[in-house]
Amino acid sequence: MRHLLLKDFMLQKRILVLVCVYVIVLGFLFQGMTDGQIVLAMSIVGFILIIFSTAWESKSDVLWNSVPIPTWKIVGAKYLSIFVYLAGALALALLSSAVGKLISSSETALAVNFPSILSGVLIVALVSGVYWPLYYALGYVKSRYTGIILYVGCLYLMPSLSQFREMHFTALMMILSVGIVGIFVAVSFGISLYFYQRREF
Amino acid sequence: MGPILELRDVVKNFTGFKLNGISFTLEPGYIMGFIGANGSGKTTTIKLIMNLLHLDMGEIKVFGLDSRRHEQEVKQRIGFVYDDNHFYEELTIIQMTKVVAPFYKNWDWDTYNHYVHRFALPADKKIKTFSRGMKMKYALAVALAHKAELLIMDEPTSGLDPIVRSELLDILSEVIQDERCSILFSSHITSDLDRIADYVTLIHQGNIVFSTSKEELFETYTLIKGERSALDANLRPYLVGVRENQFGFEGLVKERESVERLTGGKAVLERPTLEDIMLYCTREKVV
Repeated sequence: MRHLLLKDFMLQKRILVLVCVYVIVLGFLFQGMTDGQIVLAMSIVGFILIIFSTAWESKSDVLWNSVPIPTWKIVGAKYLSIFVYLAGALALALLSSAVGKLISSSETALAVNFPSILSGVLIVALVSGVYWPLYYALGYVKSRYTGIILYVGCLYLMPSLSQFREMHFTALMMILSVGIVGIFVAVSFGISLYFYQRREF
Repeated sequence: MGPILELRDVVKNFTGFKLNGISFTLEPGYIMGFIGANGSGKTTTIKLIMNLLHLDMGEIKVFGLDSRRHEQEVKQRIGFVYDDNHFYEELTIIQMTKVVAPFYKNWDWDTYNHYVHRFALPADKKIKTFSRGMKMKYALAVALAHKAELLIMDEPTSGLDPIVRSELLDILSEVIQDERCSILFSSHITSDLDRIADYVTLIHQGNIVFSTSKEELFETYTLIKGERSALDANLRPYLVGVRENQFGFEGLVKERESVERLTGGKAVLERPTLEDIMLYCTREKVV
């Protein structure tokens, strides 16, 4: 499975560079942004990488389904990639934050804390949990548009989610959220696998 | 040892096309030419063998194993070359091979490097910069590097120049020498198969017209040419297919000796090419 992840990274090198620039610029532009905006930055990075990771796959299904790889690994690698991308996005956010603090005297430079990181992870996991089954059911071309709708919806809902998180994100709430999103992603994986195994190439 | 590939009553339905209960077998150590016009069902059959399409009815066995139940085991021993490039165009062949190779238990880097060197494939250039011939050669290098016992090739020579085609056929002839590997070679360029195929299977409109050895095929069929006056009611039952014009006729017949006696030298009898056989066998079905 790690070779499938490696392939995604090799294909996305250029996008990764652009995303790095995006996060850094965002970090500087939004000096003084709330941790809700950090969540937003992370979500955008994660989502961009997820969408772009499928852009090269339009013809490759024939390849992967001709090579001896179980389909659950092909689908699983895409789900796993979410967390790898998030780790990358987080590293960038932290870097951006550190640089922001270094060069800005303002105390309002990016504030990265555990709840905001967890929120970012949960939101991207949630959105990708919706996106992957659509991708495996409809293929890249059709799911691309639903991906954009999801992305815009995500941006629209972000302030409300942020408010909710600030008011109710207790330790218990965090554990509950992780559990619920975990179950949701597991169910989403099952649905994606179901669709992919029924697709013809 | 049983057949390396066996299709029994395979049915696949699409809107407007049906693979109509086809059956054929391929014995170990041979090359089978899988011929037919565009849209006759060649790619559909190959996709069914590779599990890229789901079977509606029938059975496909590869190496004596059910191709669905033993999918991973079967695919470990199959090499494939398709008519289109399915590798990532944005990667170099080094990058691409590093991703694909680990999935094969019998991957041999020496064999792979041997073919990459022989085909003069630039390791550091992106696949998108390759010509069609180079892409096909790369696919072949990957197929041969994991010691495949069955090579499945779907129109590998289409769109290639005669030099590359000839080079490919030479390699396939070499590969088959050790009698360990078998090849299913789908093509509508029958001259390629005239050269290398041991067996020929003709598919037309989703039906198998024949599946037999090339020798038997050339013993069975004879090309006949003559003036229109020679094409009488006695000759017509022997014709598999015929093309007539104002000057004469050309057709394909069975039972050469009977036809020879019947025409009494008024028609010329010749050895047909695979293209002649394909043309007339399918022409009859159309008429």
